[in-house]
Amino acid sequence: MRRRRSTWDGFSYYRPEPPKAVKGGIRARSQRGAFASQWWGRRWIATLEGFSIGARLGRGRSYARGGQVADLTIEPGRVTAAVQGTRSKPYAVEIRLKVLTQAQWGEVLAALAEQPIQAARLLAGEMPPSFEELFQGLHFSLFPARQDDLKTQCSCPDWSNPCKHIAAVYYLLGEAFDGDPFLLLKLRGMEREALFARLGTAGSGPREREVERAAETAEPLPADPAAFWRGAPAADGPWIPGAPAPVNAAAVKRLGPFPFWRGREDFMNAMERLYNEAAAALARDPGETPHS
Amino acid sequence: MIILHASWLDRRLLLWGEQSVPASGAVRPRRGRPSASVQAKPLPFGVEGECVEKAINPGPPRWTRTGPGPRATWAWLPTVGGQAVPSSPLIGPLPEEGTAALLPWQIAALPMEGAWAEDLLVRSAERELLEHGLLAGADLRAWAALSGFARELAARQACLPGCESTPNGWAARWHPLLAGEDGERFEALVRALPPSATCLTEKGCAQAPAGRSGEAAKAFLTAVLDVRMRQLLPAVGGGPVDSVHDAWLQALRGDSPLIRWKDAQALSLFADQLARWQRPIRLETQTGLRLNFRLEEPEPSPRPGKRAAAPWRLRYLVQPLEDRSLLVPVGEVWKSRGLAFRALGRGAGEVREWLLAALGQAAALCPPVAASLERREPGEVEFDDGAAHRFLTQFAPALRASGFGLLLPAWWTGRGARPALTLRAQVKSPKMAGAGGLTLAALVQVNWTVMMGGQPLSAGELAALAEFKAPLVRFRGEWMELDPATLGEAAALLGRRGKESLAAGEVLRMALSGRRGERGSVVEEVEADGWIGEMMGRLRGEGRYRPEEPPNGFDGTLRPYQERGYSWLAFLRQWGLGACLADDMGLGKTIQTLALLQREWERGEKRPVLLVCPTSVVQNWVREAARFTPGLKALVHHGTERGRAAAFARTARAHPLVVTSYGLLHRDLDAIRKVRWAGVILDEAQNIKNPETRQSKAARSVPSDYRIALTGTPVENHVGDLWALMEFLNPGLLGTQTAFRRDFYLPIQMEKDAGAAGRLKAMTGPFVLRRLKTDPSVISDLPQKVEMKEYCTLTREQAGLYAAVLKEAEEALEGTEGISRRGLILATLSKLKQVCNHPAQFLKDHSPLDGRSGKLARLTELLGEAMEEGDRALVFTQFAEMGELLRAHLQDAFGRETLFLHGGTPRVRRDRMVERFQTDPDAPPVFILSLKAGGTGLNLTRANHVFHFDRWWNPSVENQATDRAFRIGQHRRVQVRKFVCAGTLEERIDDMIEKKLAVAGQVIGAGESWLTELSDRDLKAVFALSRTAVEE
Repeated sequence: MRRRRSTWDGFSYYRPEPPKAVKGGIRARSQRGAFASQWWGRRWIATLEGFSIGARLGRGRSYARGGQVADLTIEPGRVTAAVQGTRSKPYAVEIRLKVLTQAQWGEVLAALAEQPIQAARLLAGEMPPSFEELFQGLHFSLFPARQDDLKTQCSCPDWSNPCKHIAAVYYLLGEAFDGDPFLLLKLRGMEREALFARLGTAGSGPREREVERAAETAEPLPADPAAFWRGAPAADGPWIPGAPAPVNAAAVKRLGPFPFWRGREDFMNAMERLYNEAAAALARDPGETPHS
Repeated sequence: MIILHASWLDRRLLLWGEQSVPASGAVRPRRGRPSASVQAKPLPFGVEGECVEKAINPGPPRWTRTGPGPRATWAWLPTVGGQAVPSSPLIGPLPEEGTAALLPWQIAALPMEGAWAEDLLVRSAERELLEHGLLAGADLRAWAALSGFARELAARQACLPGCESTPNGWAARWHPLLAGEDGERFEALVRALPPSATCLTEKGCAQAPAGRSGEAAKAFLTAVLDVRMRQLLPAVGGGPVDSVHDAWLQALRGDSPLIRWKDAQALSLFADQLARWQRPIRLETQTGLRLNFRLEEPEPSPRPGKRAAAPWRLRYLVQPLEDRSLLVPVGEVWKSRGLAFRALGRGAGEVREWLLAALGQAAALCPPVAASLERREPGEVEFDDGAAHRFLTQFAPALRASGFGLLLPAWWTGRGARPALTLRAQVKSPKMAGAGGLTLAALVQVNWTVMMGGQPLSAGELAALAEFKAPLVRFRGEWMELDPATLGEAAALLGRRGKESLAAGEVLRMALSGRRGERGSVVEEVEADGWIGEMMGRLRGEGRYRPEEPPNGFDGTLRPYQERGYSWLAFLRQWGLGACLADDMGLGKTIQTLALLQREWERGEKRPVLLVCPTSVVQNWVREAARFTPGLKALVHHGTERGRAAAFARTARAHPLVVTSYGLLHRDLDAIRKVRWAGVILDEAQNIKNPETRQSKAARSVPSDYRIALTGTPVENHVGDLWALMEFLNPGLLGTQTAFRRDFYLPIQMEKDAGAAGRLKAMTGPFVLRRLKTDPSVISDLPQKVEMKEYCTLTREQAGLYAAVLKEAEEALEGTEGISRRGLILATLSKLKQVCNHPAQFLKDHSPLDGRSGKLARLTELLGEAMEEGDRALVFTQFAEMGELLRAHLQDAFGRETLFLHGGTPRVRRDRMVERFQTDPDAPPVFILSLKAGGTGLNLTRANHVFHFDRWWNPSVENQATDRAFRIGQHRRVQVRKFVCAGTLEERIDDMIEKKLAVAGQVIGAGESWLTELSDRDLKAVFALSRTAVEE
């Protein structure tokens, strides 16, 4: 085995040891280069990288890529995670971020209403740059501006802050925000449903319409033979078959990646592979004879 | 007759059935286990477990069933007076009166799992009558429709992976995505489920099941979709499973849906996360709103010809799916007052979230929409001409494909606006001098003019138009599309001063199809003079009709409408154009064709004509030819002794008419192709409607000068069949199969495009002649009653039995005299008649009926044709047993009830049957009567077909029977057909009656006793069986 060089991180000599492997850990999607491909995910990461220097970050990156983060939960104002280090028990990580007050959110929502494109883009999975400007215009910041805005904690013995475990969580958060900008808003205190319920100045309050079919009322079966054996007459004319999927896995692509995916293979790749394979199998054997 | 049902119970679909009580009346006893508390007797007409399997897999098994076997279940069925009410009179009698209650009955039900179940569902979706004697019930067909829908969703990838909790644990599941129209379609399919689809419970259940068809349908849809996706995604070797996510991915493939992960809490959490992840799309599909885009034209600019300064507008509108007439402008949704939301019936937050999501999605497909979202409260976009055209051609289809509604100007069809530029052709040709010599290959000069809005354009004006560079141009208040390809074509033509040399056939194609070349510019008008003009005029049906004289050698009289048909055939023959004669049955297609053949022969045609027809009518053609065109010797290429190869070619050349069957057309194709045929005629041409079948390809590959197709079915109703027919008659007229599908089949069938339908009719119309027996031009020529003979053949079995009876009779007759001789003769006569009818009647062995009698086959064919035209028929037989056999067979063959009246039918029932037949709108179309019952003054004028299945050879008795339909009160022409087995005693006796012979002073035909006066030798001659009697 190659001898690892010890490095000076400004505090002590530190000999890197490989962490214990985790099965089914949350693995970062990016395996090389920068994390997060969207600007807001990168901005999130940039704020971290602005706060600290040194080898910790690099170690955090490799932890995130290696799937060492075993668990991660986002709540308003708080992120908790379990990260597997060199010890047998994973370390508990907590990141706290100040939430905006209700009144502050009220101002944000009013501003959002002025520019519907913002909310539309969010729903489409992107955060327009003007979104940050909107916050700045109200003198709020979307991302942590100063190191004090973030309160982080980790049960590992490393004294530096952020340690590599916190950094790993941070990188994964960046990627998660990439896929779903609403997670960032959730962290700042506003859940998605609540946002749209309160968006706009009027309306009948946050009434969530029942999305599943209401439980059917059970009607007794009719005893009359004619009604018993026959249903409603079939619709007139043949149904025009719906347009074929323009692109494979279109629905999944619109939804974007599943947050905090732990699978061995990247989520979008796995999904695309499934749908592509299904399409290929269908092309080989359509199954039903087309009308001649 | 067995009727199959499918019902949902406990997360699976079960197959069960009803069976008609056999004619003998004995009900097979069923073994049933007594039930615990509630009594459920075994269903008397239920199908036993193994019988269900046998029913769907008759004959040599097509597949073996895997999976669970049949199990006893309870079906809650309407019951009157202790008897369960069957679903159809085909099973058993329906109760006359009494209120029905739902009571449990014990049945055997087979879980529908596996390939055989899929196969059955696919077949049930296509048609009701699955096989002879097997019907799919309404519930089975409704499930089959749902199953087809699920498979379609899978093919369109309208599904998302998810997971759900099952009694066995968490399972990965593919869920259907029912967006927009799919949602409505699903609702319609649920409504089509009859209550019998959910009428099963477990044994011992105390209460009737409550109908939850919606739940059941959704569960079934998901199950089928899931299975289908798993078929497309077989399991791959399991890699390491390190997380619940990996386990889930694995469980999405292959047969087992269970997620192999032990941590239940993690699974539950994962299920929640999946639901959240799916939320954006679920919200869209379940809000029940749709975003519409309406393109509004600008006001016309005051200066004509210039580009309009005012812009086009694209407006956004919100439409609730439950009330499509309501379109709320998106602008209203942004306003703070709740009026818009009240109109839409939904909360503001929900609508706005949905609207923003939808706009975002549209923005991804259409950049102008994206730009509009930069502004506050977007509600519309403005376009100039170019942008409007881009929207119409590029973005609108993508938006429509994604489920957005599009409201476009009326002049924009799916394929574009009216073309701005069209062509006009002027064709010059000399007047036709004399009869022949000209073919469609002859070259003619064409002068082209380029037109715009009805005015010719000069080359300079065309160039100016090209400079315009706008795809949409407004001319005299109408928007038209300027297609660069057309511009190019027009410029090229004008460069040649509009002159071109084309074959006459190409000119014809252009005139009919309205296009230059396959996808060229629109040809608005083709003006032609001389012989081309005349030909085209006659093809289009203009000009006075010059009827042809019937040929001399034609032995018969053509009715006026038949003369017209014959002249039409002759005209098309002259030009080598294929003709389809599609007259109604009974109008004499045979005669008109024979007249044409005779004409050709008399004009010096020496080559033979090939006539291909179904086996059952081969003898008919031969006899008709012998009767009407005795000069045309016909060769029958049929049977095991037919000539092969070289021998065939030699004999064929010696006969003007060669008759063969479809089966032999492709089997002996090589021999057939070696002969030089003058023409090929197809009788019952619907046999080649599928262009891929061997006989269809074979028919198209026989070279000849002209081709004729005869069919009784309305050709224009079946667009899909038209290509094969036209390709046989006039190859290349309708283009390639793919082009036909794209330009005609899909637009007409799927989009109901009237323009495409009109173009197709214009192209095929000249080559199809169809007259109905109700046409005013025909009806006056038709006698009130048309009597025809149908010459049928015997099957091998029948021939064998016939010969056996003859032999026995011969031996017995030797030496008998007097009364015993007479008795023997009459008995033999009766036996032979029964053999000619059906072996099962003769053998009296309750054996299956199908495929054993030539007469039965022919009757079934003819009845099918009559029923397709909506006619009703009477069938007479002198044997009550035969009547019963006919009823059972016809019910099984058509899946519809058939009435049967015989001497023993009680009077009350008889009157009810007659009344039902005459007045009930849903009355059975076929009424079988025994000859005796036929003489009792019944009024059955609703029938306009009469079939005499067997003969009594007493014309007055037969006419009396026929007159049940042909009497006062009958307003239509009645067609009477008398069945005669060719080459048997039936034919000979019939001949003798026709010739009005007399024997020993007794008139033949008044009874049968004259037969007993014949000598042994004469008797033998009458009874003999000739070789032509047997079909192949």
